[in-house]
Amino acid sequence: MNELLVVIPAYNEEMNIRNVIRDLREHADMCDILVVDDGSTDGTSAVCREMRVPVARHRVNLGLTEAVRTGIRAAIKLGYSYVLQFDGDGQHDASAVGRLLAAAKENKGDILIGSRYLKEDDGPPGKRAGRWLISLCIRAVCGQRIADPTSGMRMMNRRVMDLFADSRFYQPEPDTLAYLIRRGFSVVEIPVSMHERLYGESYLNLSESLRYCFRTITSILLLQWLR
Amino acid sequence: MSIILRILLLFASVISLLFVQRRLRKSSIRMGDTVVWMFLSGLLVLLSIFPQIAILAAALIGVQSPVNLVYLIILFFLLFQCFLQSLRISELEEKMKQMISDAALSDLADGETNPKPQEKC
Repeated sequence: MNELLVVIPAYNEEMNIRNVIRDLREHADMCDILVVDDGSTDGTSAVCREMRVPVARHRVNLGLTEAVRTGIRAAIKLGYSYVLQFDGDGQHDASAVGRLLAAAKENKGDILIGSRYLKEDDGPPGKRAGRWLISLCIRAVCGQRIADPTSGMRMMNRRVMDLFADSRFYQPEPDTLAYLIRRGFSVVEIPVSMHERLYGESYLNLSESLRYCFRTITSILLLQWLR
Repeated sequence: MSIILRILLLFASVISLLFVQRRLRKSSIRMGDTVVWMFLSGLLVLLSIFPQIAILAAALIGVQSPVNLVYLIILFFLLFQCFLQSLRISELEEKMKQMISDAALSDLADGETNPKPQEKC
């Protein structure tokens, strides 16, 4: 068994998941893979079984946060030391996994974010504005600049896994980053490159994105003082 | 309180009492959950039959019109109920998420079709 479990939350990703798994097998053979099928209505689980990748399947759709949490709980149960959250839509580059794991083993940080925007600033302006705003809020609250707080590529060590697995107050989301930094956890960004998603739609459309942005900012600025 | 308002209050509270009681008999609501609505309807019946209670209380507290006090009581009651409902929904959601996650994990542990993650990828 490897030390690292790559958790892939997937909702209706039968078109993408095959490539994602293939990419991981090719470029990241130091890890085990677990797909968390978040109540997909398509053949996501079937594709994974066909490729002999273990699947934890939610019977109904619970959302990204809960899918990741299930993955983390599985990793703890099976005794892994690190979890990497990895998108099922083909955006993430598997060749970065090795670098992230090496950094994690060197104790570079409790949470390592695979960050696209340390390198160059691109992406659609709307997304950029939202990210900039969230980043600004995190900086205001805890003084650390995080270039890509919304990145879905996060490596966490056992200490963070235990937090995320049990308490309903900790969620693997940007607002939690701010809270964890203030609690003394170290969050470090590692530059990675990313692709555009291959097929299908993302979790976040425009109205979802706005709501997400609003909720995250409120949470960073207000709610964490009450925790 | 005007006589019309009293009649309306009486009418509405009796109707709601009957409604709650019917639901209870059809067992579409749990006994414990009806108590609070029974209580509210009962209070409204009481107030519409004996408006003196509201008048006296309003004078004591310093509310200008007794009917405002009745509204205030209802409003407070409803807000509190609303908060309790939020609390219960949160709890239920949390339990549901936990159960679905647990089910997924136990499937993973004993799934025959599922290769174990220990296998090299």
